[in-house]
Formats: sequence, structure tokens, C-alpha cells
Amino acid sequence: MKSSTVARRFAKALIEIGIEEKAYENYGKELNTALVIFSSHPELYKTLINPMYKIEARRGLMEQISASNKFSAHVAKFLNLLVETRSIRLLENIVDAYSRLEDELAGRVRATIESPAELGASLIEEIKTKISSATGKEVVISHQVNAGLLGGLVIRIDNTILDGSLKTQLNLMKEKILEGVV
Amino acid sequence: MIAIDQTLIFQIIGFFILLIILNRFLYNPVLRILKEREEKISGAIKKAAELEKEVVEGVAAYEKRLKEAAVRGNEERSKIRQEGIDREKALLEAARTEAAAEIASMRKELEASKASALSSLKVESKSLSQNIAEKILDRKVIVMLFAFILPLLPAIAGAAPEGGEHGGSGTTWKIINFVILAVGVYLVWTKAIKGLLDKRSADIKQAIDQAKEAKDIADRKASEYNAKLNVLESRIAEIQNELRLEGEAEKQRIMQEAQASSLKIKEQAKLAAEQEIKKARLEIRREVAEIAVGMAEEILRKELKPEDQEKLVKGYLNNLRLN
Repeated sequence: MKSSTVARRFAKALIEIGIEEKAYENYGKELNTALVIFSSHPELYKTLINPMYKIEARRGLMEQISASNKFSAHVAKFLNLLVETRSIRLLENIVDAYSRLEDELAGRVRATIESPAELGASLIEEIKTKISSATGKEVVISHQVNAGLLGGLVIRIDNTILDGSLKTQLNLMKEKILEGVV
Repeated sequence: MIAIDQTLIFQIIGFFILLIILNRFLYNPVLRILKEREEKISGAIKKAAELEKEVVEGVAAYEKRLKEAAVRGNEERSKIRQEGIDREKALLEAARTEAAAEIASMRKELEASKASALSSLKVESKSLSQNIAEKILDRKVIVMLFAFILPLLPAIAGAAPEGGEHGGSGTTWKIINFVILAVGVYLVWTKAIKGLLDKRSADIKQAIDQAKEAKDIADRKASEYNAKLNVLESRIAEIQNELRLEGEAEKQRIMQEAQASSLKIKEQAKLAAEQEIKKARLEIRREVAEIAVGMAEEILRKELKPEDQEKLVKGYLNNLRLN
């Protein structure tokens, strides 16, 4: 089974509990905090998935992390479950899936914009409005600079890529020349 | 002392009577049988000789025909070979070898049959001649017996006058002597000579039958030889025909293959040329595209201003459609 599918199942299980407990947004924040901790300390992953250490010791370590960061009981149990099933390595995917589920629940879409240079705030807002009107959802935009695009922009919404860059247009032009269309 | 008297007349009469009897019952049958035997034996030998001559002539004729067939086959083979390939030549050579082997084999068999027939005829002729010689010798023995007896007859008959000098019944004794002689001759004829002649007649008849059988054997061998020669001739014709047909078919196939190969080569050359042209065009296009796009990219990098970028973004957003 693909790790993204497994991660989505874990995320869905946790968010359903969060919905029942009306605390899914808080669970999401706690998961992000855990991800930041593990990303800052990669050795933690290695320790928690290493079978040389007893499962009680690994679970104890995870409980200590949860306690020190004051994670809610369900999130702590969820993280312990990930340690027991050695799925803690999927934490980043789980957090991403959880965020998507959160966005769906909140009626949000996350869009990433790439452009060869910084875009003005008004232009970003215009893009945000355009995407929001097109999707009918709240839009959360993140912007990245990619000088290789030459001009224009690239918008990524989930798995959808909207490529309006000059680099792509030049490549398309090259293909047409090769095909003899031009 | 021999005296000439009336007994001479009786002796002459007796001689002629004996001559008539011998002619009737001995000489004529013997001569007739000898003539018949001679005719049959000589006829068989003559027939055998004719068969031999026929076989020899047949061999010569066949050799001539075989030579002619070989010449025709060679001419046609040469003609086809000039237009064909080496495989055709190999087939012709193989067929020729096969034909030559068959001809050689048939010639050998023919020579063997001929020698066997001649040998058999010679042996049988020798046997016949030996039998005839023996019969002749037997007859000579019998004739010599008569020749031995006949001179004695006058002596036997002459004994009477010597004994009859003192009586007048000398004539009676001569008659008695004659009768005794006639009875003796009759007895000898009926008991000995006739038996011998019958036996000899049966032997001669057997010899004639043997000669006839030898002739029949020679006829049968000649017939078998002719049958084989007929088969050989048809075989040669068949081989020649097959060779010609195969040569023509091979020639046709070679020509077709050559034409097909020629067309294929031309097509391949044409295709290769087209591919080369296409490849060259594509390379030119690629080079043009690379140069054009590269130059466009350079120009864009130099000439693209923030307002142009904003214009591009807005233009794209205006045309943006989500599902």
C-alpha cells in the first residue's frame, strides 16, 4: 500500500476523533509541533523505529515528548500508536494529509504560486480572489520565487498545476517548431 | 571253292529283299529323324543367333539414342545454366550422373545377360553336339554290326553247297538258310535295332526340346532386356524433362527473386533516403528551435520588465479556468 494512502488513513482516523471532540484544529497544531520536533531532531525517528530498543522504551520516549509538549491525550495515544506500528516515519505525510482534511473541513484550498520575481501584494490578492472565485473556497496562498520561469507564474492547487510561465510557453513553442507546426 | 550257280540268284533276291526291308524300316526312318533333328536344332541355333544379333543391334541403337539424348540434355542444360544459378548446375550434374549410372548399370546388366545367354547356348549346343555324336557313334556301331554280319551271310549261305555236294536238296538248304537269315534279321530288327532307334529318337527329341527351351530362355532374356531398355529410355526422357522443368522454374524463381530483391533494395534505399531527409529536417528544426528559443529566452531575460510580468500574470488570470 502506498505510504500516502496509509498516511491519509491515519490522518482521517485522528481527525474524526478530533471532530467528535471538537478539537481537530488543536490536534492539527499538535501534529505540526510534533513534526517540527522530529524534523529538528532526525535521530528521534531512528530511535523510535529501531527494534534494538524495546518497545516499552520507545513508547516511553514518545510519551515523554508528548508530555513535555502537553499534547492532548488522543494525540499522545496516536503518536504512541505510530511508534508501536513503526509508522512514525510517515509523520510528515500524515501531517500533510491531516492539513488537507482540515482544509476540506474548513472549506479551504492551499495554493502555491511560483514566479520569477516577487509579486506585489495587490497582485497576490488578485490571484487569491481569482482562485477563490474559481474554487468557491477560502484560499491559503504561499509564494515562491523561481527565476527559471522567466516570466508569468505557476499555480499549484493540490494536485493541479496551472502553468502560465514563459519558460513553459517557450518549451511549447520549441515543440511546435520541431513538429513543423510553426 | 566258290561256284557260280543258281544260288546266286537267290542270294541276289535275298539281298534286294533285305535292302527293301532295311530301307523301309531302318534307313528311311533314321534319315527322316536325322533331318528333322537337324532342322530343329539348326533352327534353334539360328534363332538364338538372330536374337543375339537383335540384342547387339538394340544395344547399338540404344547407345546412339542415349548419346543423342545426352547431347540434347547437355545443350538444354547449358542454355539453362547460363541463365540460372549453380544449384541448377548441381541438379543437372546429379541427374546426369544418375542417368549415366543407370545407363552404365543397364549396360553391365545387358552385357551379363548377353554373356549368360551365349554361354548357356554354347553349353547346350555343346551338349547337343555331344549327344548327336554319341548317337552317331551308336548308329555306326549298329551299322558295323550289320556290316559285320552281312559279309558273314554269304559264308553262312555258302556252307550249304559245301555240305550239299552229296545231295540234291542244296537248293532246299539255301532256302532254309535264307529263311533263317530273314528270321534272324527280323528278330534282330524287332528286338534290338528298333529299340535302339526308338531310344535314340527319344534322345534326339529330348535334345530338340532342350534346344527349344534354350531358345525360349534366350527369347525371354531378350524380352526382359527390351523391357529394361524401354524403362531406361522413359527414365532418361523423364529425367531430361524434369531437369528442363526444374531449370525453368529455378530460372523463373531466380528472376523473380532478383526482381524482388531489386525492388526491395530500391525501396530500402528510398526509405533510407527519406529517413535521412526526415532526420536532417528534424535536426534542422531542432537546431532552429534551440536557437530560436534560446534567443527568445535571452531577449526575454533582457527585455522583460515588472510591468510586463504583471501584464502576463493578469492576462493568464483572465484566461484561467478551473475545471
